[in-house]
This record gives sequence, C-alpha cells and structure tokens, in this order.
Amino acid sequence: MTSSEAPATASGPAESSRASGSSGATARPAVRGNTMPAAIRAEWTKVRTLRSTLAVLAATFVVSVGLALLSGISVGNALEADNGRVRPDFHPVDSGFNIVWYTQLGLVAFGVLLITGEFGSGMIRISLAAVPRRARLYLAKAAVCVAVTLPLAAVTVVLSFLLDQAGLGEYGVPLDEPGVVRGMALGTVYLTLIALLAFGVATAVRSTAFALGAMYLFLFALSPLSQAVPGLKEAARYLPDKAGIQALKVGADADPALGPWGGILVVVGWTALALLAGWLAFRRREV
Amino acid sequence: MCAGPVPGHARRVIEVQHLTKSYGPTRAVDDLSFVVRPGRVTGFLGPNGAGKSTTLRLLLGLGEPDAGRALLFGKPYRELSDPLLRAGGLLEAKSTQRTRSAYHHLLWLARTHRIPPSRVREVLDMVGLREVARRSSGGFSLGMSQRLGIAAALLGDPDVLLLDEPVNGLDPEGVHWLRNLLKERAAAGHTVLLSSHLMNEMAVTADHLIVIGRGRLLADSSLADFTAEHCRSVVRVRSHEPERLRVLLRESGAEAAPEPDGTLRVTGMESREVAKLARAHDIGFDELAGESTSLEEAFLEMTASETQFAADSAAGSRKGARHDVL
Repeated sequence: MTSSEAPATASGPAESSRASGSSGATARPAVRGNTMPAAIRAEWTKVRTLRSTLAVLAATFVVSVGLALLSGISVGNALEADNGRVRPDFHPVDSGFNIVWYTQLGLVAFGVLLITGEFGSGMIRISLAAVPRRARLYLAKAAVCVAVTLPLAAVTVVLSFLLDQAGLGEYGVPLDEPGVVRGMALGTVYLTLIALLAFGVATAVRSTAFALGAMYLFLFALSPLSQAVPGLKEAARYLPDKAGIQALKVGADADPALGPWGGILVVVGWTALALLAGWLAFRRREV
Repeated sequence: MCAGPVPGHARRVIEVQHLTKSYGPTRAVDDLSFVVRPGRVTGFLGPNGAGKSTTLRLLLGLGEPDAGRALLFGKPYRELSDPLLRAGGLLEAKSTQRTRSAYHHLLWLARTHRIPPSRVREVLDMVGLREVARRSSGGFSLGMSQRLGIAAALLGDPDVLLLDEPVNGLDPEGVHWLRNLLKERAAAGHTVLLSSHLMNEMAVTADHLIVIGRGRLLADSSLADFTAEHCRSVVRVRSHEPERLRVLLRESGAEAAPEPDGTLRVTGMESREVAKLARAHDIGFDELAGESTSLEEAFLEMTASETQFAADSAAGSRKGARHDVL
C-alpha cells in the first residue's frame, strides 16, 4: 500500500498530528497484519529485548557447558586414581547426559518468565489488546518457547556431552557409541518439553514466584523424595523428569520397561496436560 | 466544538449497552449505556472507583461483562481484525517490563500488526521520547511512562483513542501537548474518549462529557449543556454591612453565605441585581465580582452523593475540597 493512500479520510486539521506520518506506516495494510506469524515475531521480539530472559538463557548455556567439562575432568581423574569415588556402574554415555538435569533448571526458568513477567508487570493487558485472540497469543508464546529452547538445548546437550567426554579423556566414548546420538536428540526434545511444561504451569498460576517455586520444589524435592518412598517408587517412574532423563541413559539409570521412546512419550503427555491447564486458565481470565 | 452537522457524527463508534460488571460483592459497572461519537473529544468523568477503568478494560476486551455489551464499530473488540489500527488504548501507564527500552517496547507491539519500525520512531518523536528511546522504561517517570503509553496508543494510527487518565503525571507542557493532540485528532474526524477524575482538565479538553458514579451514568451531554445546566452564577461581594445585605438578599430570593475572608457568596442573583439591591438600600461595598461556579464544583456535587467509598481517603480529600469551596 502506498503512503498516498494513508490519511485519505482525514481533513485539514489532521495534518499537524500526522505531519511525520507520511512514511506509509500509517496506511492500512492491504493484507491483514495481525496474524499468527506476526504474533510469533512480536513474541520473539519480546524475548530478545528483555535482559532477564537473555541472561537466563546465557547462564543456562555457560553453566551447563562449564559444569560438563568440570564434571568430566573430575570423574576422569577419579577413575584414573581408582579411588572408589566413582559409582561402580559408571557409564560414560550416561555421564555425558547427567548435565541435562542442570540445564533444565535454566530452561524451566525461561518457560516461566515467558508469561509471568507479563502478568507481574501488567503488560499482559497491552499484549492482549494487540493480540485479542487469546489462543493466538498463547500459541505464539508456546511457539517462541520452542523456537528458543530447542536450538539452545541442542547446542547445550551436544557440547556438554562432548566436553564431558573430553574431560573423561581415555574413559570417554566417541560419538558413534550406541545411544549417544539418540540421547542427544531426546535430551534436546526433553529440555524443550520441560520448558513448555513450565510455561503451561506458569500460565495457570501467573506468578513468577509460585511457578518457579512449584517447578523447583518438584524437581529438587518431590520427585527425588517420591523415588525414595517404597510405595511410590513404581509411580515415580512416570514423573516427567524421571521418565525424561532416564530416556537419555543406556546404563544402570535407564528404565528398561519404559525405554527411551516410552520415556519421552510420558513427558509429552505431561507437557500436553500442563499446556492444557495453562490454556484453560488463560482463555477467559480477566486481566 | 460541536460545530455543525458532520456526517461522521452519526456513527456510533463506541457503544456501551447496559454494561454490568461485578467484582465479588462490588458492582463496578451497573447497567451503563452510552455512545461515543467521532469528531469530538469525549471526557469520561467520575471519581476514583466509579467504574471508568473497568468500562475501558471491557471495551478493550480484557474482561467479560456480566451483562450488556461493550462495542467498538459495532463489534466486541476481540472480533476486530487488526485492532491496533482501529483503536488505541492506554490503561495503566506503568505496565511495561522494566528492563526493556521504550523503543523495543513499541517495536514488539508494532510487530503484532506488521507496522514498520519507522512508525515506531515516528511516534517516539511525536510524544517527545526520542532522546530516551533506548533507555529502560523502568527508569521512566510517570509522565514519561504516560508518553510511552500514548505512543503505543498512536502506533497503529487508529480511528479511536481510549485513554485512561492520560494526564496523570504529565508536566504542564505535556498536558498542553496532549490536549492539542487529542483536539486535532477529534477535529480530523477521529473518536477520542479519555477518562479523568479532574473536571477542570476536562473543561478545557473535552467537547462532550460522560459522567459516571458508582458504575452508573450521571450525565451524558455536551460541555456547553453541562455548564448551562449545572453551573450557577456566583457573586462575591465585600460589603460594609454584610449582615444587612445578607438579609436583604435572602428576602429577594437569593442565597448568601459569609465567607472566611469577610465576603458574601451570593447565588441565585446576577451581579448587576446584587449591586442594584445594595445601592437601593444604601449599602456600600468595596468589591463586587460575578463568577460562575466551576464545573469542578458541579461535578463534585453531582458525584458526592454517588461516591461509593465515602470513607476512603480519596473520597475524604474530595469532600474536604468540597467544604472549602462551599
């Protein structure tokens, strides 16, 4: 659309308020502008222009990769010294994926902040005034959550695996060891899903503190504790973090009954539930 | 400013029909109906808690009415395609994420409608935030935040502006600028609805007034009609014999009340008549001035009985102000 069509309806006095509006920006677009791709691009712009989310993502990467290298070196030294501080069922492939548990902490925080930052500041009103179709806004946010976490998770998982193996030195395994590539792929998928799960939970509860608190309480305490309670152990296999992280493993940490694909499917189920819960809370909520 | 019949005037751009909304036991908006037409600035006036913000939020589709409808161009806001190109809203100014810059705040908003970044720079210039565009909005003063919110409302160059208390926190220069901006847009055929709890501000900005109290409509008329209907003329007279004059005025059907500064405040009689009466009875006076009760007083009187939270501090200070002027 050309700029000459812009203020066609305006009469004389409008010119002063629109004096600088001649670039064509004020024209009505011929095609509808407020679409799903536009909403996704806007959400991406939000992510990349907010220091807190960028800091969380950068820290997630740096800490994961750094820990992987340190862990590899320290386990490698322990194996070298044969001092009995390494568990007897040590498996180098599983060791390389241990770091995923830590990486998820950062990506969970990202999934939470993606939505609670808007509720906390009241910016959600501006977002909904711009994208009034709530399903569109919710899906755009979920899409950006995937678009950011998936590549970051892939790079982090692969690099931390490689650095861990490098740290292990002669005890490390090459990439063509069985289960390595599958573990990298599923680790990436798991991390993406757990960030989405956190996003769904956070949308349902709205508050950063509640959402982060609930997610971390679950990951740090509830899930490990349920593992320790005899009666719950059988059920605890199906908790999202347990099912997801065992899916990357090939040694003693793997759950043969669930298997890698079964494990990741369980996580898909939990994530779908969390996203549904978030949607049910969001679709009609007064903001 | 309602000069002559403009065709667009007939359009019911904003239409609120029997709108009702409660929060718990509190009825924020109570069977409220009004129409806002283009080509003039409509002031949406009411004390704090009268339901102005709730009405604007419902108009922007941010909540569901319990009953009734809030329509823009005959539709609920959520059904508008490209809503930012149709209506620009400003709710709370301080609702940006603090660490994002003003430019980036407007940029993401522009992205939702494929509005080019050049338009973001334009509106930043228009509201006078160009110099601070790259600074985090969290460090903005209330006035700067208001300007950013107004920039956001103008981003899509919409036909309708819905502004909730946009004058709050603006410096005098900003108030003047905003007033001119709104008048220009109205003159260009746009629809402008702005809420305020300050009648004096509305008196110089608005052409039309919608007054609400406790969620109900109290008045819906042009500023001129509102003034004619609600503003009585007042005469202040400093007399040598105030008591005698007061009795005489009462006998003539006027109201006269002594003021702390020793003057009499006369209502119900024109200044010329007061002067005539005094002279006829040989009462000397040093000062005699006619004025009209301010719109502010008319507004306070109208809303005082409707003020919901009579005991709360806001209402308390309002009542205090009222005692001062009476």
